[in-house]
Amino acid sequence: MLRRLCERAFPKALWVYHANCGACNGCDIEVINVLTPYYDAERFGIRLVGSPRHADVLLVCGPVTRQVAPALRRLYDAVPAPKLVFAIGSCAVGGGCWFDSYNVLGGVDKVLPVDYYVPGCPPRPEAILYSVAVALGLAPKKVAAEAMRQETLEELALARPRQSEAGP
Amino acid sequence: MSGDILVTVGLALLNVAVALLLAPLYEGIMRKLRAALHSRIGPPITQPFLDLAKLLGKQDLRAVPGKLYAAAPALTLGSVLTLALLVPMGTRPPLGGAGDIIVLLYVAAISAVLLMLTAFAASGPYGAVGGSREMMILLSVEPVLAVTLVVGALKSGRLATLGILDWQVENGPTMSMAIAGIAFFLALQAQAGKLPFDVAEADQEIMGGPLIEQSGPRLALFRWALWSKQLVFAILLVELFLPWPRFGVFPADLVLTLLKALVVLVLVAVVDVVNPRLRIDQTMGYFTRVAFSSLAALAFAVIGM
Ligand code: SF4
Repeated sequence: MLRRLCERAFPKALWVYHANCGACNGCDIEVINVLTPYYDAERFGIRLVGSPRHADVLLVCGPVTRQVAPALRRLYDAVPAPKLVFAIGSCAVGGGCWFDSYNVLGGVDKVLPVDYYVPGCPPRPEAILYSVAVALGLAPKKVAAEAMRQETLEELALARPRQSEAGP
Repeated sequence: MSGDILVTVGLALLNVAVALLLAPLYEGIMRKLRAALHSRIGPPITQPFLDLAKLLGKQDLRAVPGKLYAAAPALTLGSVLTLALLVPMGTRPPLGGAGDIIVLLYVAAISAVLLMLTAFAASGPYGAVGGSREMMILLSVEPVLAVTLVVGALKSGRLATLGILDWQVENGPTMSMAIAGIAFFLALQAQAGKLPFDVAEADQEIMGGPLIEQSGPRLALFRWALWSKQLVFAILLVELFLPWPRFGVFPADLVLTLLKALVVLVLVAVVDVVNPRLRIDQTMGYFTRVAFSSLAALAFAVIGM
């Protein structure tokens, strides 16, 4: 019963923990901006907490340097389930301007399962809030889900009958 | 006789329900008010209930094995509920026969001591700092509470909370009780862990202090206990120091008491918003001075003012 109650209340009471994994501080400042009275994230029940044990959401910024990767893994383990991970900024999404650098792993998803990606260098506070709103189901997604796959030979033949007839 | 017991049990259930269910609501109102003073919209006033529901269903990660550590949050909440039974809410306290203001002081200290022990057991640097600050606040606030309650006892000549309450209703406001009431209000601010005295938790500084290692349901129970404690202390304040007007009709008195407690907590929230945090040594110095000023109330009480 408690589990069910938790699931209902979870999206309305997200407590976020902010982790800097080698970010240049641009993203950190934008994350802090979201929590200022001007943007008032608390109206969605979002609070910044100082301990991973209290957190529901990890906001990870930065390309994950080699030194910080084990710490990030332990941080993830310290958060009680259920939990969400947001990758904030181009660096955290895929390495950004440190793509393929020798000293970074290039993206949070190399270390943790990431639930939401927020690109931008740095993403505007509005973008971060929007991503949270999408996660909470408050705002619709702007892109539709799309899946790609290789067509089979039969499908190709059906789609382009003339070419296959004219074949060699 | 059995009817008497039934009434007592009913009152006990009522007091516990007030402490458990109204406390998060009052906290929600305080948060909304804080947001309004920041010119924000703020969370809905049911937000503390949502927080509790979410925390109760989360995973329980424990840093330390051991039965006492595991039971600490439940014990804390239990001690606060016992405290609620010792406090009059509109009528006599259900457990009034079992203890007077001295028992009340001891029971009030249990929750703080448990919180402190849990913080030390979890043995993180922030937790240890938070725990020791909690202890110092306890040491400096407890004398203030004791002196103010003793003023009441001295005036009324009785140690029971109900005795003080009845005396107050009969004799109207007095100088010494007014001073004691103000000192009690200042101590309430520290008991509730609000600015400028939230040195033990100090979210921006030591990340929640004693609570830093607590996750999920354990954090929920601790938070719940702290909210209940602040409400119970607010009720104690209005019942002992501001019991007028008293109708003598139980439901009306209860509603009035709860409304007055809300006003007190709103004041606490306003003080919280407009003040910066003191350092722990400043807090202790402050309460030493408050304790000495409340001795003035004691002196007034002795000369009968
Ligand atoms: S995404 Fe841009 S702003 Fe954010 S950490 Fe990387 S370089 Fe800095």
